[in-house]
Order: sequence, then structure tokens, then C-alpha cells
Amino acid sequence: MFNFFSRTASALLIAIAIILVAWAFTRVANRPDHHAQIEGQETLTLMHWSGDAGQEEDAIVADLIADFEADNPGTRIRRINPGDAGSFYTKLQTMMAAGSPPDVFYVGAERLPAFASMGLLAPTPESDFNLTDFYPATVNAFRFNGTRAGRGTLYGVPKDFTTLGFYINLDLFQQAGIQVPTTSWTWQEFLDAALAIGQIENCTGAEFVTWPMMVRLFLRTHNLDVVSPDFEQLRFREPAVMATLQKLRDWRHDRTAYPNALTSGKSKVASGSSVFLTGKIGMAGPFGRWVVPSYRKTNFRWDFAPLPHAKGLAPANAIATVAWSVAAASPRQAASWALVRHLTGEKSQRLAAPLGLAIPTRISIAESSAFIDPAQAPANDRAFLDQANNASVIAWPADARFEAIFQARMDQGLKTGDQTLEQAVATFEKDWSLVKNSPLAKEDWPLVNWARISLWGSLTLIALLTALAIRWWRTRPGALEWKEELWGWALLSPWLLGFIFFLALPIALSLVLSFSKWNGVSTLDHAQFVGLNNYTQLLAHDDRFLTSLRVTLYYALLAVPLGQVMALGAAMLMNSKVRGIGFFRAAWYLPSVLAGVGIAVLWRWVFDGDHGLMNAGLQPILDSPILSWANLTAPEWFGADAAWFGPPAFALMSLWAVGGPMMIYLAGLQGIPQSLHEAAELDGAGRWAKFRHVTLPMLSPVIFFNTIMAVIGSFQVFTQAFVMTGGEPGDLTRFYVLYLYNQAFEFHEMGYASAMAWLLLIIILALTVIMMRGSKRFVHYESLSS
Amino acid sequence: MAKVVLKNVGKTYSGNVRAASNVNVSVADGEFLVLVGPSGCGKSTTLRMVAGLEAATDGTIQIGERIVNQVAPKDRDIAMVFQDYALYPHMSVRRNLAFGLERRKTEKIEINRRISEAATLLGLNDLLDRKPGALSGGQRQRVALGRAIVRDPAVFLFDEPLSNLDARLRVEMRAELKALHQRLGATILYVTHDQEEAMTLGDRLLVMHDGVVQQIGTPDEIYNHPANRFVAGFLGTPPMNLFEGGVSGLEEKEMMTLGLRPDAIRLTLNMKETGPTAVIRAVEFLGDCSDLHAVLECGATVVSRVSGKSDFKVGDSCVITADMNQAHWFAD
Repeated sequence: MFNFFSRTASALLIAIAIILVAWAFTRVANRPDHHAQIEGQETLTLMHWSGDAGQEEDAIVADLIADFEADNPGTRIRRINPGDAGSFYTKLQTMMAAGSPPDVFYVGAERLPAFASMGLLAPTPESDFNLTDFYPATVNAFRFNGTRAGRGTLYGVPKDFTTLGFYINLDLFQQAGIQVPTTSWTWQEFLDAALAIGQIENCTGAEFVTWPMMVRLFLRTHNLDVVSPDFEQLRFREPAVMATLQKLRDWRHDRTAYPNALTSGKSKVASGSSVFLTGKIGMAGPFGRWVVPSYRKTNFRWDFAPLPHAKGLAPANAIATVAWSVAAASPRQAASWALVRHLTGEKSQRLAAPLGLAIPTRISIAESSAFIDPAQAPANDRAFLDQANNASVIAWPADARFEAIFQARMDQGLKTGDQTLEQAVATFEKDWSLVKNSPLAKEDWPLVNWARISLWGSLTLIALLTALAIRWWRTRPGALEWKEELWGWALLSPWLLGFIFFLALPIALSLVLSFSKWNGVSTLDHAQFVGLNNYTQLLAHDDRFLTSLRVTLYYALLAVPLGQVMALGAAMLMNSKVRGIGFFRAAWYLPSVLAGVGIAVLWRWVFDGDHGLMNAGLQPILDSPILSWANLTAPEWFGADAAWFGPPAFALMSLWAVGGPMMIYLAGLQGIPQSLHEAAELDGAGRWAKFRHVTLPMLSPVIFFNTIMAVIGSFQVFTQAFVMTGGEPGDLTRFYVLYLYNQAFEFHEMGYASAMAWLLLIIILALTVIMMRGSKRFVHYESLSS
Repeated sequence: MAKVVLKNVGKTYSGNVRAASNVNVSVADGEFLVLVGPSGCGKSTTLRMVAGLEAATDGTIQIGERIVNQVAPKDRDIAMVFQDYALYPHMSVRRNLAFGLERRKTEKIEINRRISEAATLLGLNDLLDRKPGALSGGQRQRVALGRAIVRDPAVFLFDEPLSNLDARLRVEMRAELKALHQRLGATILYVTHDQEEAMTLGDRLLVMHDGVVQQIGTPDEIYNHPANRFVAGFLGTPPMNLFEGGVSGLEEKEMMTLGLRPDAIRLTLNMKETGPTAVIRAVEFLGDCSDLHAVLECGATVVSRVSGKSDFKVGDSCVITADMNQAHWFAD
């Protein structure tokens, strides 16, 4: 009877499982988005982001598309919005690498050279667009001639743009008695205003962001630059360039000559557009229009002032702009460009203009009341438009490493000031020449022979499987065991398939890639074979790689012992029998559940040099009578003191997640028989002796396990560093995996990054083997069996 | 060696759970006292209070001439053998034996002397460099004993030390323990729930039930003169037959319990004999004897021990007679 029921039940379960799987597959295969082609209808894929203006931007794009679909019943649009610009580019790269890019998508002018040089963008049919209504600078921003932006083929139609300048706090200007600049002013006037506002209690003159673009913009207003227009010659060594950069550095760091002129910018949180919102900053910039929606929420009066110019020189400015581009790989070029025409048309721009986030690229709309709105701050909308005439895009070499290295070095030389300008520039020159002179920079490497690799890979696999099959055949089971074995494999199969396709194959692929050069954006058949060059470059020439390894080791050296001691200590506390111990255990464990980006953002504030909780607690201790003789100040964790204090800050932060190992220790502690402690007690052991001679040895396998896991984990630090510092200042908190990420997804060096990943594996493997070998004397596995 | 005196010792856990109350016993120097009773009766708690692993909530505990209630376990001059042996698994047998002495800063030469002495006594000489994981149950038991012996304590405490061994080994170790006691002349407090172990080992037994001492006495006293129904029923295999009933001939009609050990009850297939009749439900053949389980008409079960050569079968009707000279009467 029972047998009958269980058989029916299992048959039923299998039937349900088969139906579910079949249903899932048919549903995916028939998803309307992909395949519900109506006769004569064309489906375009469009991808965009929604930045600070989030839902509003999303809604506007949706409206524009609905509008287009109403006018063009033959075309349907599938819209993808992955969120912010970062996620957008990640998704775009993935789709491009897969050979199925969206037809129409956003491209920022700063990314244009990289994308265009990889041949990913379709040239714009210029005659189809009335480009005379557009600000010429915005259109030119999307031209690229193979080496530099600003001229050549057009690869997109700009949808909106912004010029740059300073946002000014009118209340502070009034208090300091300074006249508000409206049309033009000089850097000297800017500095005087900053110094005057710096005199007001608790106030600072200006926040001057030293983002790579802004540093070059500052030089541009002096008719200077760090690199020649064709990016072949570095110009740092021109005395005027160094002098101008030194001036910027002095404004910020020479506190006696320029008291309170600029914010220290010593930490990441103490800089950026949000500092202005405190109301204690006279001016903030150079920023574009994008800050306006958030600044409109302030409770003080503010306005926009044009970018200052050098005395005796004409004002100069830069623009930031985003275009709608079409993928070169799209088979629906005509329909795509029709959509772009609609999206950049007058009607569309008129709809988008009131958002306040950017300036319409069509002169007719920008000059109309759709954009110029006297009722809302900033009053000086004109300043944005006037500057468009002497602005052009600040172009970067197609190799994204130029900008990344520039940013890292200027961070140290200008922002935190932990290196002199001379040191920072020298490091930049060295880093960049390593990139340029690397054998990997060559373009003529042979293509990877995928056919041969697949052939040999398959042959090896077949040989391996045959060997396994023969072995299995020799010890093949009888009918009864065979049935059990079959069930075993059947139940294992979902995991096995997942492992093969989502783990084993990508791992094998990354091994092949580690010997090749591939940008991760174009399809795999573009990968070039470079032999061992990725590895030799990494180990012998890449100083940034060695720095990242050093940062990671320093962190591991602190975080692993500290974390284990804390976790074990906490576990011993949690092992006591007091009322409400369940609550305490949960409370200790809870933080490890709440990990990730949100927590990293909170910790960034904790370690903030000026306003952070850590220093607020630390400074009084350093000032206390016991320590005051040493005359210590709390460190700028992620600022000027990051070389010594950056990784320790991350190590301290890692204690947040001590609950995980704590739980394992707690389980280990509870597995120690009470009688052992009692026996030791009767044997005359005190608290320490019991810990030393019973708890520690009994726990040693657990300690060993936790330590190995912690070492592995400490080599994989990414999220915290990515969110909290982005590796800054310089490379002082650039952990191994963060640098790997930079290489893969910012510099488009997927092969190089794969080599890094394999080196990481080897490092971790070596460390583990060393620890295994060295642990034999200290780890007592006997304690597990008793 | 020393005597152990417990005066009104009691243990109350939080929540008013009484594990032991009013335990009074005086263990003479060199005496082997077995604390026996069913699980949860408070015997282990009592032992642990003597060890100092649990604090007594009432009464005083005296070891030698000293009241030790406030003395730390390590300073009570006792050694304890645990049920699970509690050997340090990461230490060799030698280190296990030495650990307690090292803690007490005993001189190295003295430690080695004591270890080799104990090892010889217990036959551990070949095992000294092994770890406990590589030893059999019996060997571990010996190491646990050795760890107590090297300490040369005033009192040995044993907490069910044989219960993890298989039946055969248990009997062997029992004999060894007895011999060891005679050789060392040590004061021993020994906890067990096994009445056979208790009877064979103890100079005196202390029977506990529900935290209360039921009877203290030599095995002979306890077996032949049980103080109450509990003691009567607890000791002896198979247990004593107990019959409740009113007893006529007394001044006040009183409920009494009649206790008869299985060997005091005789069954006969000769239905002409006088006595209550019963039907045999089970025959347990034990070799030299058999235990017969018979059901009386009133429904009560009687167990009788008869010669192994008798030929009773299940289903036989029989007449029950008893040797009333061996009868025990309990008023409770």
C-alpha cells in the first residue's frame, strides 16, 4: 500500500518537474520582447541610463519613445534602463561583447574615442540631420578621426550638454561684501573672493574639484595642457604648466599664504558637489548643469558664475555632453537613425529641458523659455549658454589608462598633497611610459586561433572522459547499485550543468584570455594572442600592480589576525550562559548580514577626516593628558595619511563582519566537551591555562579553517574599496581585485585582468599550501574525532 | 588519604529545582563508597559538589579536616575520573598524565617517576607516546585512571567511569578497580546507576532517589534489609516482586507492601498444591537458572527464579508458593 502511494507520489513529482522545466523553457523562448515579431514590424532596442534625476529621466525617455511609436506604427522599441551610468556601461559592454548590442544608446563624449576606435559605433548620416541648429561644440565632441576627438567622422547626435563654472553661495558673497560675477571674471578675482569668504567663521572659500577633466580645464583657461593634441608629447615639463599646477596646489595646501581659500579635499567625502550643500562654502566647481536639481533643494540663495579666465587671456571652457549613438553592428541602421532623429528633435528636447539637469543641444530650444526659466535658480542661465561659444570637449586618448593614471597621480599631487607635484608628475610619466612602451601596446599581435583551441580542448576533454569511462566500466555497479547511481547523477545534474556552463567554461576561457589581449567589448574573435606578455608585464613592469599587491598584503596582515582574535573573543563571550544570550548572539551576527554597498557608504563617513565618527572619538583620546605630550592628530584615513592608515581603516571596518567567523568559533567552542574543562580545572589549570591547553588546541582546526577563509577573503576585498575610495588617493587603497576590475572594465584589458585573476589564484593557492604545511604542529585534528 | 563528611548537603538550581537535599554521609579514610540510583537521582550532582564543580547550596562538605565549600576544585586534593574519560585528545598519554602535575609545578624527575609508576601499575608502558585517539576504550579508561593516580590525591571521585565500555570489559575493569582500591587504600566516591557494579565494588552503598538519600549501608544490608520499597525494587536482578495490600491481624487496618525476591517464589505445575494460580507468560533461560514471568488471576505479574533444568513452558498453568521467611514488609 505504502509502496503504491510513494510510487504514485514520485511519478507525480517527476511529472510536475518535467512540466515546470518545459514551461520555463517555452516561456523564455517565447518571451514577447524577443520573438513576438508582428508581420512588417521592426523591433529596436534602446538603452539609456537615469542618473541623479532617476525616475524623471526614465519617464521622459519613456514618453519620447511612446511618442515615436505612435508616429511610426511599423517600429516597436524595447527600452532598457540599467540604472546609473556605471551599470549602463557595464551592461553595454557585456551586450557588445556578446555581439548583440542595443541599436540605439547613450554615449558620453568622454567615452567616444574608446568606443569609436574599437569600431563599435556607426557613423552618423549627417545629411539626415539639421546640425546647424546644434551648438557646434556639442556636435564636434562626437567627431573622432582615429586618434583624437573633435574632428573627423561623427558618431552620434548630442542630446544635451553642459558648460562648466562655479556655483556660488549668494548669502556668503553678500556677507563678505563681494560683487557677484555674472559674465566674466579672472582667477585672481576668484581667489580674492575665496580668501574673503574664508575669513568668515567656519567657512571656506571654495571647493575646487581636481577631477582629471577639471585639472586640464584649469590649464586650458591658461592656454596650457598636460599633453599635446595628438597625445604623443607630455607637456608637464613646460615651466608654465608646472607653475600653473603648483598654483592650484598652493591655493589648497599653502595654508599660510591662502588661509581657508580652498577646502582641504583631503578625503573623498569632503569633496565633490555635495559639500556646497553645507552652506559653508563660498563657491563649488567646476561643475556643469547636472548639480542643479540637487542644489534647488537648498535653503540659501545661490547662483551660477562662469568659469574664471586667466588675466589677459580670452575665457575658455569645456563641455560635457551625451549623444544618442547607433551600434555599428546593428542591422537596422535606417530605423535606428530615424529614432535618433526623433529623440534629438525639437519636440523631444523641449520635453526634456525643464528637468534642469542639462542644456538642450539645439540652440533654438536652449535659448527659449523651455530652458531659460527666471523663476528658478540659478538665475544666471545665460552664463551656461554664453560659454558654449568658447568651449570644446576635453579629449582623452582612446586608452582609458591615461585618464586613470592621471587621476591617481593628480589626486596625490593636487588633492591630498601627500606627494609633491614633482613626485606626482614623475610617477605619472613613468606609469604612462610603461603603458605606452609595453609590448602589449602593439597592435599587430596574431589573432587567437579559437578553432585550434577548441579542437585541442575538446580532444583533451574527450580523452579525460574516456579514461573516466573506462575506469568506471571496470568497477561498474550491479543493476541495483546502477539504479541508485543513476538517481545520484540525475539529482546532481542541475548543479553539474550549472558548474560546467557557468563556472568551468568561463574559468577555462579566462585561462586562454590570460594569454591574450582582448578589450572585453568587441566579440571574442578579435582577441589577439600575446603569449606570456600579460604575465611578464604584470610581474616585471607594472608598478601599479605591485602597489596593489602591497596594499592587499598590508591589509591582510592586519585584518586576518585582528579579525580572528575579535571573532574568537566574541565567540567566547557569546558562549557564556547569561540571560538573553540569544539576543546578544543575534546582535553580534547581524552586521555580517548587513554588508555591502550601503554599509561601505556609512563607513566612508565614519572614517571621514574632518567630520567622521572615528576621528571624533580618537582626537579627544590623543588630546588627553596621557598622550597630549606626543602632540598627535587623528589621521586622514583616506586622505594625506592613506599610505599608512588607508588599509588599516579597511581592516578596522572588516571587523564589522566578525559575526560570521564568530558563529563558526561558537559552534567549535560548544563542541568542546564540558568535562575537558572540568578535568583541566581539577588538574589545577587556571583560566589562562585552560584557554591555552584546552580551548586553543581543541579549537585549532576551526581556527585554521577560519584563518584560511579570512586570508582568501582578504585577497578578494573589492566592494568596500570600490565604494569608499575607488582606490584613491593615488593607488594607496587600490586593492588587488579593484585594480583587476579597473583593468577589465575601465581600461578594457580583459586579457591582462584574466592574467591578474590567475596570478591571484596562484598567490592564494601558495599561501594556503604554506599554511597547510606550517600548521601541522599547531592544528590538532584529534580534537575533531573525540 | 582522607575521610569525606557531607552534612546536610543540598543543591537547588535556579527555578527551585532541587537536585539533592539533605545528604548526610561520612566516608571513612580508605573506604569505597558507591553512590547508586537511577539517572537523575542526584548522585552525580552530589559527587560534583564534592569535586567543587558545582557549588553546594546547603550544608557543608568536609575533606580530611577541612571544610571545602569555599575551596577551589584544584585545591581540594581530589582527582576525578569522568564518564567520557575527558582525556586531552591533542596530548600524548604521557602528557595527559603529566598535565596535572605540571600545573602544580611538580619537579620533572618526580613527574617522570610517578608516571612510570602509574604506567606500570596500569600496564600503560607501551602506550605512553600514543594519543588517546589511537587507544581502545579500555586503554583510555586506564589512562583516565592513571591521570587520577599520578596525582596521589586524598580522595578519588569516579563518575560512571565504566558505562562507556562494553559488558565484558566492564566486568574486567570492575575487578581491576577493586584490586586497585585494595592496593592503593584510597578513599573513593564512585557514582553508578548499575546496581551490579555498585554491589560488587562498594564497601558501602548510598542509594539515592529524587535527590534524597534512601539508605546507606553495606551491600549485604542493602540487599537483605532494604529500608524501603524503592531500595527493595532498585537492587537485585530481576527486581523484587512487590505486592500491595491490606494486611489483616494488625490493630489498624493498614496498607502494606510485601516484597519477595524472585528466588523466594516457587512455581509448581502440581495444581493440587495450595496457593494462588497463575499462567506462565514468558520463560527467560539464563543457563544455570531461568526467570519465569507469570500472571496471576488478579492481573499482577510475578517473577520467579528457578533452576535452569526445570521444564516450564509458556502457557503452563501453575501454583505459586513463597518462602515467607524471606519476605520483606514495607509500610510506605
